[in-house]
Amino acid sequence: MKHLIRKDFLKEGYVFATRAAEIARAAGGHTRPARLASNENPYPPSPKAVKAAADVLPPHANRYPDETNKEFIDALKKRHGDYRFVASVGMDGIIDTVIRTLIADGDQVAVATPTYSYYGLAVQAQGGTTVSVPRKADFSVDPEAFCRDAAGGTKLAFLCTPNNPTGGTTETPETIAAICENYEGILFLDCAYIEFDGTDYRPLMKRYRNLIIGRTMSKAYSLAGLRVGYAFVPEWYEPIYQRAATPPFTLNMVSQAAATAALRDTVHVKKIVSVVQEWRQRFIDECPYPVVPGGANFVMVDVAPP
Amino acid sequence: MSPPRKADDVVTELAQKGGVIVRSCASFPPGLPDHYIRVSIGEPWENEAFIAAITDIYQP
Repeated sequence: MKHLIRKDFLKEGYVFATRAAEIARAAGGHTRPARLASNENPYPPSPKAVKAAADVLPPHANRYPDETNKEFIDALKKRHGDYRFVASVGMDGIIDTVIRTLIADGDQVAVATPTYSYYGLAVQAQGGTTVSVPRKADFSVDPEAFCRDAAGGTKLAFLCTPNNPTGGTTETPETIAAICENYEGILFLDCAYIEFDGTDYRPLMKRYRNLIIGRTMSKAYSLAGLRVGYAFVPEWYEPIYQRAATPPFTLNMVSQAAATAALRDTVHVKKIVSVVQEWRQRFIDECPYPVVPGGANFVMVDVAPP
Repeated sequence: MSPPRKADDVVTELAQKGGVIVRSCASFPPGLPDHYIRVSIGEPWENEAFIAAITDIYQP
């Protein structure tokens, strides 16, 4: 029956970081391996988030969740200011939905590479193709080169900062502004790791109508298991996104409650970020191989001899 | 001098010798040579295990 399947879904899908785990198991003797392959937060979420999630479940699980994610969106506005937000099942859910609003068969999407592989897979799933926009040797992005390479018909561009997996320079708000000024499509700035760096791109949302900033509760907020992503979107785009968001319900009520409480517990997240930053510096200082410094909760190590 | 090491080999060595699971960046094409690994910051004992394991397998 495979001839009935779209060819895009007969190719290899997303590569999970499981291979090394299998190796460790096969080797035996390591019953409790150190899990440093998925950029997870090793610390539990805020106890307030855990309590909120537990409290909502018994009395309300027979009802559908709030399809507008209102409590969470209100918490986002309180935390970040008066911006427009959308929420979805992980930032991947946002990426999927944004692509669905813009990309059809034959459309092109620019991706600053090397980077997170899911952008390309999600574009393919919608019938689009990706144009690779290479980063510089230090893995940073030159805005002029980016706009030049992305020009010529791409409708959407993905730029991850701090970049997964390279780390390296976190782009300055000025770099992102220069891209927004000169790029004719929509720039999706993936800021999954930005809490570990602190660069603030939010004010750019007031200046540019072609910028979407994706964020996640999976990393700094320790809620990877509950799948909560959100994005700052331009005002004109919000109703279009909402129309394209399918299935009709995104966050479940447990995720909504936990994410709302986690976002409010700023003390907890600050503490975690500070511990991660200390260890990041120790990795840079103590790893015998060269480490690409960066602003995320991971580092990239060059294992070729120095 | 030893030949350049490949990310996939180092990932296997770290897992087998040190019980440390890291990610090879070979699955992040295009444009990334195959000698990079990505290491998340974990719990202190995991971080210590990584530093010990990578120091152990280091070949200058």
